[in-house]
Amino acid sequence: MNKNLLPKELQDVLTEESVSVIETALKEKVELSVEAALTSQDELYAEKLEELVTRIDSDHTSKMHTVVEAVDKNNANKLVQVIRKYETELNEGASGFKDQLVESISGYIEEYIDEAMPVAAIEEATKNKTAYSVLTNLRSVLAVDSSLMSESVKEAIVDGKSQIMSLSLSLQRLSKRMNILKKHIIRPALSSSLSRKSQDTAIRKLFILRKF
Amino acid sequence: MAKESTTKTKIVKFIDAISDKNYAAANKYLQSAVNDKLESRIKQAAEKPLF
Repeated sequence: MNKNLLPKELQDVLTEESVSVIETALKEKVELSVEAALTSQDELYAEKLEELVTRIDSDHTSKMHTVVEAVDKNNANKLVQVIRKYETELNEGASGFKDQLVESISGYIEEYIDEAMPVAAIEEATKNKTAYSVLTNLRSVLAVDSSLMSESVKEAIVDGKSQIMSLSLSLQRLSKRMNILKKHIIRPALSSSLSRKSQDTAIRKLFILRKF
Repeated sequence: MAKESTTKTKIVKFIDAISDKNYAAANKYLQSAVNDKLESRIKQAAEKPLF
Protein backbone atom coordinates (compact mmCIF):
# COMPACT_ATOMS: atom_id res chain seq x y z
CA MET A 1 0.00 0.00 0.00
CA ASN A 2 1.23 3.44 -0.78
CA LYS A 3 2.09 5.39 2.40
CA ASN A 4 1.41 8.70 0.66
CA LEU A 5 -2.30 7.97 0.58
CA LEU A 6 -2.46 8.30 4.38
CA PRO A 7 -2.91 11.62 6.13
CA LYS A 8 0.28 13.56 6.99
CA GLU A 9 -0.10 13.00 10.74
CA LEU A 10 -0.24 9.25 10.20
CA GLN A 11 2.61 9.32 7.65
CA ASP A 12 4.81 10.79 10.41
CA VAL A 13 3.69 8.27 13.01
CA LEU A 14 3.55 5.04 10.97
CA THR A 15 6.48 3.42 9.36
CA GLU A 16 6.38 1.38 6.18
CA GLU A 17 6.38 -1.86 8.13
CA SER A 18 3.56 -0.83 10.40
CA VAL A 19 1.54 0.23 7.41
CA SER A 20 2.14 -3.10 5.78
CA VAL A 21 1.22 -4.88 9.01
CA ILE A 22 -1.93 -2.84 9.27
CA GLU A 23 -2.64 -3.54 5.67
CA THR A 24 -2.14 -7.25 6.20
CA ALA A 25 -4.32 -7.18 9.25
CA LEU A 26 -7.00 -5.34 7.39
CA LYS A 27 -6.80 -7.77 4.55
CA GLU A 28 -7.13 -10.68 6.95
CA LYS A 29 -10.03 -8.90 8.61
CA VAL A 30 -11.72 -8.39 5.26
CA GLU A 31 -11.10 -11.95 4.28
CA LEU A 32 -12.61 -13.16 7.54
CA SER A 33 -15.59 -10.87 7.12
CA VAL A 34 -16.10 -12.07 3.56
CA GLU A 35 -15.74 -15.66 4.67
CA ALA A 36 -18.28 -15.13 7.45
CA ALA A 37 -20.63 -13.40 5.07
CA LEU A 38 -20.23 -16.20 2.57
CA THR A 39 -20.80 -18.80 5.28
CA SER A 40 -23.93 -17.07 6.49
CA GLN A 41 -25.06 -16.72 2.87
CA ASP A 42 -24.37 -20.43 2.33
CA GLU A 43 -26.34 -21.31 5.40
CA LEU A 44 -29.21 -19.09 4.26
CA TYR A 45 -29.16 -20.56 0.79
CA ALA A 46 -28.89 -24.06 2.24
CA GLU A 47 -31.95 -23.44 4.40
CA LYS A 48 -33.81 -22.01 1.46
CA LEU A 49 -32.71 -24.90 -0.72
CA GLU A 50 -33.74 -27.35 1.93
CA GLU A 51 -37.11 -25.67 2.19
CA LEU A 52 -37.38 -25.67 -1.60
CA VAL A 53 -36.44 -29.34 -1.79
CA THR A 54 -38.94 -30.14 0.94
CA ARG A 55 -41.66 -28.24 -0.89
CA ILE A 56 -40.69 -29.91 -4.18
CA ASP A 57 -40.68 -33.26 -2.41
CA SER A 58 -44.09 -32.66 -0.89
CA ASP A 59 -45.38 -31.48 -4.27
CA HIS A 60 -43.92 -34.49 -6.00
CA THR A 61 -45.27 -36.74 -3.26
CA SER A 62 -48.79 -35.36 -3.65
CA LYS A 63 -48.47 -35.64 -7.43
CA MET A 64 -47.16 -39.20 -7.09
CA HIS A 65 -50.05 -39.98 -4.76
CA THR A 66 -52.45 -38.65 -7.39
CA VAL A 67 -50.71 -40.65 -10.11
CA VAL A 68 -50.67 -43.81 -8.01
CA GLU A 69 -54.35 -43.38 -7.19
CA ALA A 70 -55.16 -42.86 -10.87
CA VAL A 71 -53.10 -45.91 -11.88
CA ASP A 72 -54.69 -47.95 -9.09
CA LYS A 73 -58.16 -46.86 -10.17
CA ASN A 74 -57.38 -47.66 -13.79
CA ASN A 75 -55.96 -51.06 -12.90
CA ALA A 76 -58.89 -51.78 -10.61
CA ASN A 77 -61.35 -50.92 -13.41
CA LYS A 78 -59.44 -53.19 -15.77
CA LEU A 79 -59.44 -55.97 -13.18
CA VAL A 80 -63.20 -55.54 -12.70
CA GLN A 81 -63.63 -55.85 -16.46
CA VAL A 82 -61.45 -58.95 -16.49
CA ILE A 83 -63.48 -60.44 -13.61
CA ARG A 84 -66.77 -59.68 -15.40
CA LYS A 85 -65.46 -61.21 -18.62
CA TYR A 86 -64.24 -64.26 -16.73
CA GLU A 87 -67.57 -64.65 -14.94
CA THR A 88 -69.46 -64.29 -18.23
CA GLU A 89 -67.25 -66.91 -19.85
CA LEU A 90 -67.60 -69.13 -16.82
CA ASN A 91 -71.38 -68.87 -16.72
CA GLU A 92 -72.27 -68.78 -20.42
CA GLY A 93 -69.25 -70.14 -22.27
CA ALA A 94 -68.66 -72.98 -19.84
CA SER A 95 -72.36 -73.85 -19.84
CA GLY A 96 -72.37 -73.93 -23.65
CA PHE A 97 -69.22 -76.01 -23.70
CA LYS A 98 -70.73 -78.41 -21.17
CA ASP A 99 -73.89 -78.83 -23.27
CA GLN A 100 -71.78 -79.38 -26.37
CA LEU A 101 -69.65 -81.95 -24.56
CA VAL A 102 -72.73 -83.81 -23.31
CA GLU A 103 -74.18 -83.86 -26.85
CA SER A 104 -70.88 -85.14 -28.24
CA ILE A 105 -70.66 -87.94 -25.67
CA SER A 106 -74.32 -88.85 -26.28
CA GLY A 107 -73.67 -89.00 -30.03
CA TYR A 108 -70.57 -91.09 -29.49
CA ILE A 109 -72.51 -93.57 -27.33
CA GLU A 110 -75.22 -93.78 -30.04
CA GLU A 111 -72.60 -94.51 -32.71
CA TYR A 112 -70.87 -97.05 -30.48
CA ILE A 113 -74.18 -98.86 -29.88
CA ASP A 114 -74.97 -98.73 -33.61
CA GLU A 115 -71.65 -100.36 -34.35
CA ALA A 116 -71.69 -102.89 -31.52
CA MET A 117 -75.38 -103.80 -31.73
CA PRO A 118 -77.06 -102.90 -35.06
CA VAL A 119 -80.72 -101.90 -35.15
CA ALA A 120 -81.50 -104.92 -37.38
CA ALA A 121 -80.19 -107.30 -34.71
CA ILE A 122 -82.26 -105.61 -32.01
CA GLU A 123 -85.37 -105.76 -34.22
CA GLU A 124 -84.76 -109.46 -34.98
CA ALA A 125 -84.31 -110.24 -31.29
CA THR A 126 -87.50 -108.40 -30.33
CA LYS A 127 -89.38 -110.16 -33.15
CA ASN A 128 -88.12 -113.53 -31.91
CA LYS A 129 -89.16 -112.67 -28.39
CA THR A 130 -92.61 -111.50 -29.49
CA ALA A 131 -93.07 -114.57 -31.70
CA TYR A 132 -92.07 -116.82 -28.82
CA SER A 133 -94.60 -115.20 -26.50
CA VAL A 134 -97.32 -115.43 -29.21
CA LEU A 135 -96.48 -119.09 -29.77
CA THR A 136 -96.61 -119.79 -26.04
CA ASN A 137 -100.02 -118.15 -25.82
CA LEU A 138 -101.23 -120.19 -28.81
CA ARG A 139 -99.97 -123.40 -27.22
CA SER A 140 -101.84 -122.63 -24.04
CA VAL A 141 -105.02 -121.69 -25.98
CA LEU A 142 -104.89 -124.80 -28.26
CA ALA A 143 -103.73 -127.10 -25.44
CA VAL A 144 -100.71 -128.24 -27.40
CA ASP A 145 -98.29 -129.61 -24.87
CA SER A 146 -95.01 -131.46 -25.22
CA SER A 147 -96.72 -134.88 -25.59
CA LEU A 148 -98.59 -133.59 -28.63
CA MET A 149 -95.34 -132.33 -30.08
CA SER A 150 -93.72 -135.82 -30.21
CA GLU A 151 -93.08 -137.38 -33.62
CA SER A 152 -95.49 -140.32 -33.30
CA VAL A 153 -98.35 -138.12 -32.16
CA LYS A 154 -97.59 -135.77 -35.00
CA GLU A 155 -97.87 -138.67 -37.46
CA ALA A 156 -101.13 -139.79 -35.86
CA ILE A 157 -102.49 -136.27 -36.09
CA VAL A 158 -101.42 -135.99 -39.73
CA ASP A 159 -102.92 -139.41 -40.47
CA GLY A 160 -106.16 -138.48 -38.72
CA LYS A 161 -106.28 -135.23 -40.63
CA SER A 162 -105.78 -137.02 -43.98
CA GLN A 163 -108.47 -139.54 -43.05
CA ILE A 164 -110.85 -136.75 -42.09
CA MET A 165 -110.14 -135.02 -45.38
CA SER A 166 -110.69 -138.18 -47.44
CA LEU A 167 -113.87 -138.97 -45.52
CA SER A 168 -115.19 -135.50 -45.99
CA LEU A 169 -114.48 -135.80 -49.72
CA SER A 170 -116.29 -139.15 -49.92
CA LEU A 171 -119.15 -137.65 -47.90
CA GLN A 172 -119.42 -134.83 -50.39
CA ARG A 173 -119.45 -137.32 -53.26
CA LEU A 174 -122.12 -139.40 -51.53
CA SER A 175 -124.29 -136.41 -50.79
CA LYS A 176 -124.07 -135.42 -54.45
CA ARG A 177 -125.12 -138.95 -55.49
CA MET A 178 -127.94 -138.83 -52.94
CA ASN A 179 -129.20 -135.62 -54.39
CA ILE A 180 -129.13 -137.07 -57.88
CA LEU A 181 -131.02 -140.17 -56.69
CA LYS A 182 -133.59 -138.03 -54.93
CA LYS A 183 -134.09 -135.93 -57.97
CA HIS A 184 -134.35 -138.66 -60.61
CA ILE A 185 -135.60 -141.85 -58.87
CA ILE A 186 -137.08 -141.41 -55.38
CA ARG A 187 -139.29 -138.38 -56.05
CA PRO A 188 -140.92 -139.81 -59.24
CA ALA A 189 -141.43 -143.18 -57.53
CA LEU A 190 -143.03 -141.53 -54.54
CA SER A 191 -145.29 -139.43 -56.69
CA SER A 192 -146.46 -142.46 -58.70
CA SER A 193 -147.16 -144.55 -55.60
CA LEU A 194 -149.03 -141.66 -54.03
CA SER A 195 -151.18 -141.28 -57.13
CA ARG A 196 -151.89 -145.05 -57.11
CA LYS A 197 -152.82 -144.99 -53.43
CA SER A 198 -155.05 -141.97 -53.93
CA GLN A 199 -156.90 -143.80 -56.75
CA ASP A 200 -157.42 -146.84 -54.48
CA THR A 201 -158.86 -144.68 -51.69
CA ALA A 202 -161.27 -143.03 -54.13
CA ILE A 203 -162.58 -146.46 -55.30
CA ARG A 204 -162.97 -147.57 -51.72
CA LYS A 205 -164.90 -144.40 -50.88
CA LEU A 206 -167.33 -145.07 -53.80
CA PHE A 207 -167.83 -148.69 -52.69
CA ILE A 208 -168.65 -147.64 -49.14
CA LEU A 209 -171.08 -144.99 -50.31
CA ARG A 210 -172.95 -147.54 -52.51
CA LYS A 211 -173.33 -149.88 -49.55
CA PHE A 212 -175.19 -147.19 -47.63
CA MET B 1 -88.40 -87.12 -23.30
CA ALA B 2 -87.99 -87.57 -19.53
CA LYS B 3 -85.86 -90.64 -20.16
CA GLU B 4 -83.59 -88.66 -22.50
CA SER B 5 -83.12 -85.94 -19.90
CA THR B 6 -82.28 -88.60 -17.32
CA THR B 7 -79.68 -90.02 -19.71
CA LYS B 8 -78.17 -86.54 -20.20
CA THR B 9 -78.10 -86.05 -16.42
CA LYS B 10 -76.18 -89.31 -16.13
CA ILE B 11 -73.71 -88.15 -18.80
CA VAL B 12 -73.24 -84.87 -16.87
CA LYS B 13 -72.58 -86.86 -13.69
CA PHE B 14 -70.16 -89.04 -15.67
CA ILE B 15 -68.20 -85.92 -16.73
CA ASP B 16 -68.21 -84.62 -13.13
CA ALA B 17 -66.92 -87.95 -11.85
CA ILE B 18 -64.17 -88.02 -14.51
CA SER B 19 -63.17 -84.48 -13.50
CA ASP B 20 -62.96 -85.57 -9.86
CA LYS B 21 -60.96 -88.68 -10.89
CA ASN B 22 -63.71 -90.81 -9.34
CA TYR B 23 -63.47 -93.49 -11.99
CA ALA B 24 -65.70 -96.04 -10.22
CA ALA B 25 -68.63 -93.61 -10.17
CA ALA B 26 -67.84 -92.55 -13.76
CA ASN B 27 -68.00 -96.20 -14.88
CA LYS B 28 -71.35 -96.60 -13.09
CA TYR B 29 -72.91 -93.52 -14.72
CA LEU B 30 -71.60 -94.39 -18.20
CA GLN B 31 -72.93 -97.94 -17.92
CA SER B 32 -76.31 -96.61 -16.82
CA ALA B 33 -76.42 -94.15 -19.74
CA VAL B 34 -75.59 -96.91 -22.24
CA ASN B 35 -78.28 -99.14 -20.68
CA ASP B 36 -80.83 -96.32 -21.02
CA LYS B 37 -80.02 -95.87 -24.69
CA LEU B 38 -80.23 -99.63 -25.33
CA GLU B 39 -83.56 -99.80 -23.49
CA SER B 40 -85.03 -97.01 -25.60
CA ARG B 41 -83.90 -98.75 -28.79
CA ILE B 42 -85.41 -102.07 -27.67
CA LYS B 43 -88.67 -100.30 -26.78
CA GLN B 44 -88.79 -98.69 -30.21
CA ALA B 45 -88.18 -102.07 -31.89
CA ALA B 46 -90.79 -103.81 -29.72
CA GLU B 47 -93.45 -101.25 -30.63
CA LYS B 48 -93.24 -102.33 -34.29
CA PRO B 49 -95.95 -104.88 -35.21
CA LEU B 50 -94.84 -108.49 -35.71
CA PHE B 51 -96.63 -108.92 -39.09
